[in-house]
Amino acid sequence: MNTYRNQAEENYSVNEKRLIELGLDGEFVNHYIKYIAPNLRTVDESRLKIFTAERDDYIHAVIYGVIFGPILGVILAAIIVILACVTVIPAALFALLFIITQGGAVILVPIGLLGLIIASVCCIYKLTLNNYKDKRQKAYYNNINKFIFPNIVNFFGEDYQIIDKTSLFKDFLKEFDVVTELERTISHSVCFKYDDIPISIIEIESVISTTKTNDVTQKKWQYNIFIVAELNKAFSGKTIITQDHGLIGNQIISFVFKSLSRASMEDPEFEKNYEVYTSDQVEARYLCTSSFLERFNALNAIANARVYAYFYQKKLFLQLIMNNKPFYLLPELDIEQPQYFINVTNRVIKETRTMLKIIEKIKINSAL
Amino acid sequence: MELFLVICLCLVMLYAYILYAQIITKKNKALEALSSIDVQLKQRSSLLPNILIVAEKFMAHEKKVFSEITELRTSATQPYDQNNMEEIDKHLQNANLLDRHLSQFMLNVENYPDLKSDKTMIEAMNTNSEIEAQISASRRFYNSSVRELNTVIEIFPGMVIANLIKIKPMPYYKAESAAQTEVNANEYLS
Repeated sequence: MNTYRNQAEENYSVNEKRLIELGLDGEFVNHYIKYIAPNLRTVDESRLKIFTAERDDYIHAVIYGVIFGPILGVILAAIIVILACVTVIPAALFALLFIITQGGAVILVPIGLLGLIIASVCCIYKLTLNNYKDKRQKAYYNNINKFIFPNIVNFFGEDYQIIDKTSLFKDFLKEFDVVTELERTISHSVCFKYDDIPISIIEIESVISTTKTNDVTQKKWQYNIFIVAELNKAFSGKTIITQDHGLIGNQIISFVFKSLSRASMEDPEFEKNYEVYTSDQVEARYLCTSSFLERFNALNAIANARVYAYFYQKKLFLQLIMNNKPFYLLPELDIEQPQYFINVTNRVIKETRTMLKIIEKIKINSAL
Repeated sequence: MELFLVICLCLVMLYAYILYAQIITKKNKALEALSSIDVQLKQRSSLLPNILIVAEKFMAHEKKVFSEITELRTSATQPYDQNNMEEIDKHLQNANLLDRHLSQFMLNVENYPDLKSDKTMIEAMNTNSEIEAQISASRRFYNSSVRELNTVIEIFPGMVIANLIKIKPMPYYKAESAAQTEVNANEYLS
């Protein structure tokens, strides 16, 4: 315990030199010292609680067992004896006679019950411990979400906030079914305003397939980042931009989006890489202006991901299917060690910058 | 041998039917696109009087411009035969002319700060630019549909079927906005 405490104390006192040694992005050092370092203690205390509370749980289990076990045992034995005495049932009388004639059995029965009860109480405690542990881990992760992530993202501006907008997002997922429901985690979104246009960045990690070989289940994951922008343009239909999947692939996709019709665009370069499906041909062209098509075509190079776009409910949903795990989904942290969140910070900065480049490139602030 | 010929004939007829269905579908799509242009043109026509009424207060000496726009507005919204390619072409040319005059008029508005800052005018101009974007989208849809139709009916054997059912290539709606017309720098410098 003291080891943890000492490590934590060391963790709370960070300076510029130490942070650079740890590999923090140079531009971020001052911001880290000002906004993140003061929160390290609070976050780490919630991590330490996982261990202190675990020890306390065991102690409580023994204490409760020792105190309440005998009391309950005696009460239970007394109830049996009283029941046997007052009842007129021959079997109970027989049991009473048996206890009286056997002498010491009157004492042995409560002792046996007592042992049983102590064991049960300990077992119940033991069983519930893991549950408590999970809850405490969640509290630790919640504190990271509360004190660390918001302070990382506000590096880019005061209006950058971590807000849970996943409920809104679920409607979109239900409508388009673009992220498999098999197993998925939706992270909290980073929301901000870009030239007065509300934008959210949401990450979704989903299992796209599972294979079982020799009793070992292997899951294939897909990592998606969605950039959701509320557009000023008035539109009521649905328009989708998907990657070109070749002759057969496109036929399958057109079957998936059977309520939508294909819209051919004038940009030959765009047509080579993408397909547009829409519920309104004019609206599709209203949204996908010639300059937008050109800009969209250039996104692949910046994003290093497969890019899809969905115009739905006055919003643009830009889907980036990444090869690597994105950043806001909570990384698997080692709860045994105090955290500086250096790697997380670096990744958040790097990838937020990439997202901003994408937003800038696509000119979400313009009329598209 | 006879069976072979019958099968061949059936296949040719089936192909001809598919081609026929394709031409009709594409023609209907082009007409649908043409209608979408008309919807936007009508919307703009109903907006124009508002703009002109406000503008007249500030640009009383430019009566010629107003009368030209009003005339073009009337001709651009006149009914026409959607099966007559010449009429379609004329209708689209009228729409183009109106486009050009209106764009030039909007440029002139810039010279009248009082008019430019008028609340009704600002709203009308915003609506107009929104309609312009819609017209541009409709034009792209129309041209894309016409391209698809014309490609089928100008290439053999679609050409034969099209001649039989008397379907002619449709005219494109070429953008001829002020941006594309020659700019006389002296007009702005004087």
